[in-house]
Amino acid sequence: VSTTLLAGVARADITPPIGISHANWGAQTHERAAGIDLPLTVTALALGGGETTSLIVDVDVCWLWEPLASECQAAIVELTGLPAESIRISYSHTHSAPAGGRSQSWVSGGTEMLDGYHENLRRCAAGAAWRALNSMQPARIAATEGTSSISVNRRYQRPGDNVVVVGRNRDGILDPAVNVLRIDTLDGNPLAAIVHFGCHPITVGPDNDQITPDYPGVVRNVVGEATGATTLFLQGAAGDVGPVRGVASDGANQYKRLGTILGLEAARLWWEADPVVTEEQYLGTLESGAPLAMYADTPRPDTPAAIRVVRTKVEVPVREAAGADALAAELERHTAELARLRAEGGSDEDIKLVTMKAKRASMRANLNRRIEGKSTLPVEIFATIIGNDIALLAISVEMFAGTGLAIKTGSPFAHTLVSGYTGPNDGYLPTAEAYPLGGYEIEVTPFAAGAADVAADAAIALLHSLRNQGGAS
Amino acid sequence: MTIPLRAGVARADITPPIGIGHAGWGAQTHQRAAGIDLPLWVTALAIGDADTTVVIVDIDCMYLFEQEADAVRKAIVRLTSLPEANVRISFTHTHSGPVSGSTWSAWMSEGAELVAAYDHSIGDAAAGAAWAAIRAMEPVRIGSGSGSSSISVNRRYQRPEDDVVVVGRNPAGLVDREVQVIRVDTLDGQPLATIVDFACHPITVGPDNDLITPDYPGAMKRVVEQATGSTCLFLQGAAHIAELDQLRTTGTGEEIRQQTMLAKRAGMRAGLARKLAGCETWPVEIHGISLGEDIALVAMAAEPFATIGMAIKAQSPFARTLVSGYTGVGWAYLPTADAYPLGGYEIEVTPFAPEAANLAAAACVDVLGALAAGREQ
Repeated sequence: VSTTLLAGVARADITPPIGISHANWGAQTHERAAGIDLPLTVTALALGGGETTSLIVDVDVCWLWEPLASECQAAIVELTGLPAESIRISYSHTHSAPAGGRSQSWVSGGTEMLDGYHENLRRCAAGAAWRALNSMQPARIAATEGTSSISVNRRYQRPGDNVVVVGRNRDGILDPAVNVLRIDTLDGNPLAAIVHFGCHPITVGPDNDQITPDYPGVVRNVVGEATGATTLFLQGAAGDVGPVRGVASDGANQYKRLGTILGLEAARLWWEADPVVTEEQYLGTLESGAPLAMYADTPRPDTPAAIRVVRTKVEVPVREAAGADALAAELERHTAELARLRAEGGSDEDIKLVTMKAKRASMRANLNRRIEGKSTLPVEIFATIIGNDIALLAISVEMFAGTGLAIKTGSPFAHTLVSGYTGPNDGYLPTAEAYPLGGYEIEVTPFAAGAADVAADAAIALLHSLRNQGGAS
Repeated sequence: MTIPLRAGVARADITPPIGIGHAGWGAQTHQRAAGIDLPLWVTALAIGDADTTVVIVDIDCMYLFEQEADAVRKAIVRLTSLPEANVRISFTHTHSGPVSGSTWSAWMSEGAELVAAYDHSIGDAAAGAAWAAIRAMEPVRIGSGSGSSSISVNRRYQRPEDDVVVVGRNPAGLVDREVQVIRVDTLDGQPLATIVDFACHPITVGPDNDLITPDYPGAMKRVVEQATGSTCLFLQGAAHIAELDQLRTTGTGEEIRQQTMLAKRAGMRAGLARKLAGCETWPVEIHGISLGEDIALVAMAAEPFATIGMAIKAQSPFARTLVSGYTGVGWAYLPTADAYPLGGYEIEVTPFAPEAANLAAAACVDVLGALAAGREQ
């Protein structure tokens, strides 16, 4: 049967002012964004079926933190009247967007623009959500899956000292799957597409001082142009996954190349997946130069899909806290040193080194504040179920590929799109086997080694309970 | 992989006049093309090293038969001064172009009067494009890749009422889904040309259509060019049993259709009889090109079944081998031996005996072997 639902989609531009603070890299020497390479967007998709309306928002920010996550949600609730449980806000995780709020205390230039920008951003998200809901119309949906070669496991043990750094680990675990959801109007016109893939948008590296959504923005544009569908990008389980090229060099060129490769594969999948399911019947032969078999390809009946949404929390174990005072003092020392270097015209090399130290100290201090005196922390799980076959599951962390694969494998749905990068970012959720090797993600995670399994088990249990509820049809 | 090659590309429009005889189908009721849905092109890629230059010419047409194909090739040779063996002309096999030559327009009473001038214009356009491609040659880098596509299906369908094999959808039948791509960049990394090789009959647009179009190969070239910035050539593979899985064949006008069909088949059989009179064997032109160490293109003047192409690929000494039919001077279906007992359209109209396919495949493998030996010198 063909699956029908209600769907509406809308987009707003959230490109920031040139000059805004631009600081998602420890190794950068600039503070302000010097220009716009590609606009940033927020795209909202409203889905309705049965009693439920669900909203999925795809926004080009590096991460959502509190209070920005709550403020965006509140703006959407206020304008649309939807309950907060029905709203999923996911971010592409581009590292070439503005700095993430005032918590990045090692940056000063351009921070004066951040409050105004974020106020505008949440209003744009609300407007797009409102428009998506108001434009909902009957639609058909199809799901499909392919693969892409643009990503690589990024936990690379460098030669010499075997320290794990962000590089290319070709033997590491990876999920190359590209999932595409295609939503057409009932008369067969393209309406919306979701492209789901797991890979850190860090192709454009620390040397870049331009605003860009990195490869996800290119994917949206390529798919949009090739299909006519307004396209959302949903980031997958990308905690230990990076692009095969770019990062430390040539990123400005490579992100367009990688985004085009992924976008064209997604566009191919979109064209292949037909939401109208047909039944073939041989009718007879038409005598031509060659005898031609004639077929009737009759559309199967449309069957309305129920939409179900669950938003819940699960407590996962945290690691041991370190001394808060010492961490705060370390951060203060590096920040003061950085201010001195900038004031006195220090060398690029010195500024890079101290920026890196300040960024890492800041992350450790923030982390410590969150886990001090606690044995568990809550993470949020968002599940959106479309009919009997499609599940979109997201957790408010940066999941590793192995955890995403475990949830996908354990899911009872035919198509399960597993994402991190949704809701307020609760940090990296590394798999247990990554802890002994150490490295960046292990240093900065608030979680203990067993946390990923706890979260994955909870997600799988939730999917099974939802499958059983929907099993009646 | 980097090899010291030079290449150039050029294109000419060969969209025919509206009103030309339009007859890829026995079941059609119209005679004249009523309009242009998408323009037809001739695209030439010149490629060479210090010693040799070849030109590959991709023509949006159903087929050029002996006389017309020979005239096109001679026109190219005249303008470019290339040896005849260095000119490969290939046809996309779109069934929605004009009729070609007197053989195929014999059953038409309208539109055939435009065909001779049009066929002549293809020769001039192809020669001009080939000449311009050679003049535009510059140092290039070449890469190749392979993927697959789901748009085709084996078309030899045994219909349920009497087990006769007709042109339909046989999902259980063999088909070669490989899409091969050769990418040619300038030395500063700019896109220059792309060759896409895939085997599938361009008969998506069926007998009810009276518009000129290159069918799916034309759409494909435009998509590739927009996405890459290169100029794209399509080379039809061993496509005789692969066709698009959506065939539009419904409509009215049965009587006219029946007569057209009988006339067309009679024309085809008469042509066959003239060719075969007094012959025990019939020559099939085979054309081979190798590019550097890894890439070879081999093509024959016939419509080979998919498994022939697959067999040649499997036995080729090259890492990347593009096997095509629809090339050069000459025409005939080339079915595999196992297809003969089942019968069907292709078996009825082929001039060849069942063992012909294996002979042609072996000859192609020999050509590839000779190219590989040259590679090592």
